Amino acid sequence: MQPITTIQPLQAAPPPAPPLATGTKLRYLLIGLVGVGLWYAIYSQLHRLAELLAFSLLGLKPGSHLGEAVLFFFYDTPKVLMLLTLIVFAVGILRSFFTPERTRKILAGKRESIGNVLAALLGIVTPFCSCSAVPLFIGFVTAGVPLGVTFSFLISAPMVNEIAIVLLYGLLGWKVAAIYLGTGLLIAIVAGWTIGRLHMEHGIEDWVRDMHINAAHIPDEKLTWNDRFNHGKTAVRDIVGKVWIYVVAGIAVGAGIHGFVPEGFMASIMGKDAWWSVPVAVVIGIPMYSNAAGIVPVVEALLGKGAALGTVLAFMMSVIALSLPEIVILRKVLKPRLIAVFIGVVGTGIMLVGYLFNSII
Amino acid sequence: MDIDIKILGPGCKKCLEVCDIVRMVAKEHGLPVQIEKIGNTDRIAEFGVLLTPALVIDGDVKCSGRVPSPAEVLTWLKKTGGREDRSN
Repeated sequence: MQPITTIQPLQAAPPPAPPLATGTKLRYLLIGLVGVGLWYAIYSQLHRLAELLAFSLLGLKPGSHLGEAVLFFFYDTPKVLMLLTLIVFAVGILRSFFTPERTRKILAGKRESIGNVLAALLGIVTPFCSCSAVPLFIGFVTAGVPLGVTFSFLISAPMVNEIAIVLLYGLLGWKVAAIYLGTGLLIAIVAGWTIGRLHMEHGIEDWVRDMHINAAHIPDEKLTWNDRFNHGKTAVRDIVGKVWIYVVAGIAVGAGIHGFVPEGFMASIMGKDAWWSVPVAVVIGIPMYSNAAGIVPVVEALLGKGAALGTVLAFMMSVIALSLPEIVILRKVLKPRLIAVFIGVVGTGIMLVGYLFNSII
Repeated sequence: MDIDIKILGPGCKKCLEVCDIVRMVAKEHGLPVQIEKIGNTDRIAEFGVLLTPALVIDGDVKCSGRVPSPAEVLTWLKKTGGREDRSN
């Protein structure tokens, strides 16, 4: 396919900063350091505060069902919300450096393999919302980003995101978070590469290929640190403001399960020995639509009661990465065969990850 | 002549926010605007926009993927419309 839009050369080095800028940069650095210090001071005291609240103030017995459930709730809720706020703020600032336009410039004309890796990595830091999937897909493909590379981006962007990673870290520890990050990227890279190998370019709807796009010359905004801080603040307001209720509800349910449901309850249905549970989890998860904030507390509850890690990860990935609304949106630009290949390749990848972790952990 | 404004977006909360801001700024400064909302994704793509919401003034994409501030909108409106601030 011929690139239709004109790709502007990467922005040259920014003009020499006015003398004021160094001062503000330093000020923001200071504010940032003090903020993180304060954040950590509170964060490190959360467990003590939760114990104080549950046992001294409410008079619950340590070790009792109710006592443990309440402690779990009082500790995990502020912990996860604080982690979420810090990371969303940091990622908000980071994202102000990576616009989709810049990502496209980087990916246009890249060779497949290296392009797939780059696309999956850029998917983490480029702002993306599934309601923009179609314009983004058209914009990428018509600018000469290979189809498989575009798919790597489209798979990684929703699946491997900061909210999922933070919640997994906060509720299940850094190992699970790292496994999720690593295998999520791997699936995005391999699935995109596979779709590229299959040469499915004819699976794009004809009108997209015939499209003549007005060269989008959105002014590449020169952001000050003030702007970037505001990006972070907006991200916190938007994201934390939207997901906190899921987090609190999820942790409340988790706390209940934590205290009252017997251990090993899920072992027979979602345990390691139930080989069929991985494909079933993926098939159930694909049409479902939920954000990471809604699904991670459920994942934690399932794991705590004997479900196998691989099965649960596969379920979580299929819920986040593929969903019926997204498929309906993508159907506008993709023919049914390419949609089927997309779901098939990604679903298979997720299933393999599920089996892999059930067999090694 | 009215300033031609197009707001691109499938109709999520942020697109409506952009619309409100443009309306508010235009009203406050007495600038005549003609607002059109475009929700159809093929038409959005034709503008070469990658992220919604996006704001198009007189055919130029001014910003995409975020809600602009009223101050930004005002400078764009003034520049494009070539009008003086008529509020007193």
